[in-house]
Amino acid sequence: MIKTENLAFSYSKDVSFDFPDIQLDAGQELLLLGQSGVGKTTLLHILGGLLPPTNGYISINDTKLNDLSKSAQDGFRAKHIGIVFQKNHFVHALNVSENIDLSQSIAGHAVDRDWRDHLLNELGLSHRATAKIKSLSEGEKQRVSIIRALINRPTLLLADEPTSALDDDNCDRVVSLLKKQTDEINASLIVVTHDTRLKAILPNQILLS
Amino acid sequence: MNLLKLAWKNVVHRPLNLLLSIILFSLGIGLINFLLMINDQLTEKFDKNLAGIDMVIGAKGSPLQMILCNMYHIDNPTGNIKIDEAKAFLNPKHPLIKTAIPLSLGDSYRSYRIVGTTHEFLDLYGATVAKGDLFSASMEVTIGATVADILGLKIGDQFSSSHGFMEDENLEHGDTKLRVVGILNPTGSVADLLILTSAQTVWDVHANHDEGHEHDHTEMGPITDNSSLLQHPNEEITSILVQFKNKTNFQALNMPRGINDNTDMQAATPAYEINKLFSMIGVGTRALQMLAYLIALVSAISIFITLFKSLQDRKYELALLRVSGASPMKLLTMVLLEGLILGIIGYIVGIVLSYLAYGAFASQAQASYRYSFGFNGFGQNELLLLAISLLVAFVAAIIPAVRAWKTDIHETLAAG
Repeated sequence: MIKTENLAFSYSKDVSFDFPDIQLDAGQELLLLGQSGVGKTTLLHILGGLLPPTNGYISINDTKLNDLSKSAQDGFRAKHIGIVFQKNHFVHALNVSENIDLSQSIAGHAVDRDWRDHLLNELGLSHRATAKIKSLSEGEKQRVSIIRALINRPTLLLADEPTSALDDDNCDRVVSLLKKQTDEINASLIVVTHDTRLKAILPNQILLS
Repeated sequence: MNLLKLAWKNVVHRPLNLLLSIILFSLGIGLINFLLMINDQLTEKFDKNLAGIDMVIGAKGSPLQMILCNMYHIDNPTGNIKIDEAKAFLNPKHPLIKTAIPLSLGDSYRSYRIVGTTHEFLDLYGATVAKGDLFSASMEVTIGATVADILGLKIGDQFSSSHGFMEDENLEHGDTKLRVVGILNPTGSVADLLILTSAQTVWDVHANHDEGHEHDHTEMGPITDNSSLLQHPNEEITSILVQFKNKTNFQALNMPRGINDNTDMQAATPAYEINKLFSMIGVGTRALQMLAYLIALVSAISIFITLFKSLQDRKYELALLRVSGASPMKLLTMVLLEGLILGIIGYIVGIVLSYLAYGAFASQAQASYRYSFGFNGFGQNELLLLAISLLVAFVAAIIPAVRAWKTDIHETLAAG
C-alpha cells in the first residue's frame, strides 16, 4: 500500500509545489496527469525516494521513506521500487541480461535467471538477451527498462512519460504491458504523464496543476 | 555481478583509453624496474670482483683504466712493468702485504682473455679446479667455467692465442699452441671468463716477436708462485693485485701514494676508482630515472583523465546505479577499482617489458663484455613497484571516485 500526505517541494521561494495526497492499494493503478512545469518529475522522484520532500511524507507498506537513513533508503528503493524513466539509461559496458541481473545484485538478491528469462520472453526480447545496449532500438530499450524495473518484484512501479514518443498502437501496447506485468506481481503502478491518451486506459486519475 | 566484475567490464569497454593508460603506465614502471635491475647487477658484479683487493700496481696511465683492465678485464692495459722494479711488492716477506698476485695480460682466445699469473690467483675468487689440473709448465692453461662452456673446450684441447683482446684482429700466434690441462668450477666472478696460465706462457708466446730478448726458462722450473717469478728480473708483467695484511694500517694506506710519487709505476685503490666510476655513470642513470618518474607521473595523469572523462560520459549510468539502490560508497569503490585495475595491468605489462628489455641488454652485454648478467627473478624491487603502482592508481582515481560518490540522482536525471 502506498500513502502520501501533504507532500510539498520547493526549489526556491518562487518555485514550489504542493502535491495532492495519494493512496493506492497493492495491485492498483494510478495516472498522474499534468502539463509541463507542474512538478511531475519532481513528484516522481519524491515517490521514488530519489529526492527528499520539503514537507509531508510517503509510506510504502507502512514504512515511512522519510524516516529511513540514506543508506536504508537506497536499500529500500532497490527492493521495493521500480522506476521506468522517460529516457532509458543503461550500463553500456554490460549487455541486456547483465543490465537486468545487475539490478538484482545491487538489491542484494541472488540472480534469478528463470525470472529474468521469463520477463524477456513476455516482452518479446528473448532473442536480444545478449545484445549490446547500443544495438537496441528505442522501443527495445524501453522494454528492457521495464524488465529491469520489474525484476526485483517491487511493491511500486513508477513510470515517467512512458508513452510520450509512441504512436497510438504502441501507446496502448506499452500501458497494457505495464498493467499486465504489475498485476502479475501484485504491484501498484503509478504513471506520470502529460499524455491525455492514457485517460481512457487508466481510469484512476489525479490531475496535477 | 559484483563490483569488481562491473569495474572490469567498464574498464575493458573503452579499449583505446585502456590502451593509452596501460602504455604510459607500463613504460614508467618498466623503465624504473629495468634501471633497478641493471643497477643491482652492476653493483653485484663490481662488488664480487673486488675480491678483497686493496691495491693494484701497474704501469703509469689512467688509474681507472688499470683497475678495469686488471680486475674486471674490460679495458686495455696501461702498459707493462719490469719484475725487477716491482720485486719489493712481490716479495713474500713484505711486512705489510698479505698477497701479491702478478698478472701478465695482452693475449686472448676468441675474445676470452689469457692471464699469466700464479696459483694464488684462484684464492682471490674462491675458484677451485673442477677437472684436470692447474697450469704449471709453459703453454699449459686452466680455463674458467664460462670459457669451457661457451667455447666448448675440453681437457687436452689445443689452440693458438691472438695478440690483443679482439677476436677479429687477425693477429694469431699461429706457431704456438696452448693446451688445456684443467677446468675451474664456476664462481660467478670474473675468474669464470678467463684463461689462466703461467707468466712463462705469455713470455714464450711473445718470444718470437721480441727478438734479442733473453729467455732462460729452460734452465729453471715452472713459474707458479712469486718466488719463481722473481728469478726472472728482466721479464715484464702487467700488474700486481695486492691484499694488505691489515687494511687499516697507516703505512699500507699510504703505500699507493708512495709508489706513485717515487717509482715509475702506478698504484690505485679499486674501491676509490669504482666509486668514481659509479658517480660518473650515476649522472646518466639519474637522468634516466628522472625520465622514468616523469613518465610515471604522466601515466598517473592519464589514468586520472581517462577516469574523469569516462565518468562524464557515464553520469547517467552512475545515477541509474544509485536509483537501482547502489550506495554512494559503492560508486566510489567501483571507480577506485577501475583505477586500480588500470594500475595493476600497467604494472604487470611494465614488469614483463622490463624483463624483456633486460634480457636483450644481458645478451648484448654478454656479447660485448663476456659478462653474463644473471636474472634475480621477482624480488623486493618488484614488490616495491607494485606498492607504488597501486598508490599512483589510487591517487589518480580518488578525485573521479569522490565525484561519483557525490552523484545527485535527482539533478542528473531531471536534467537528462
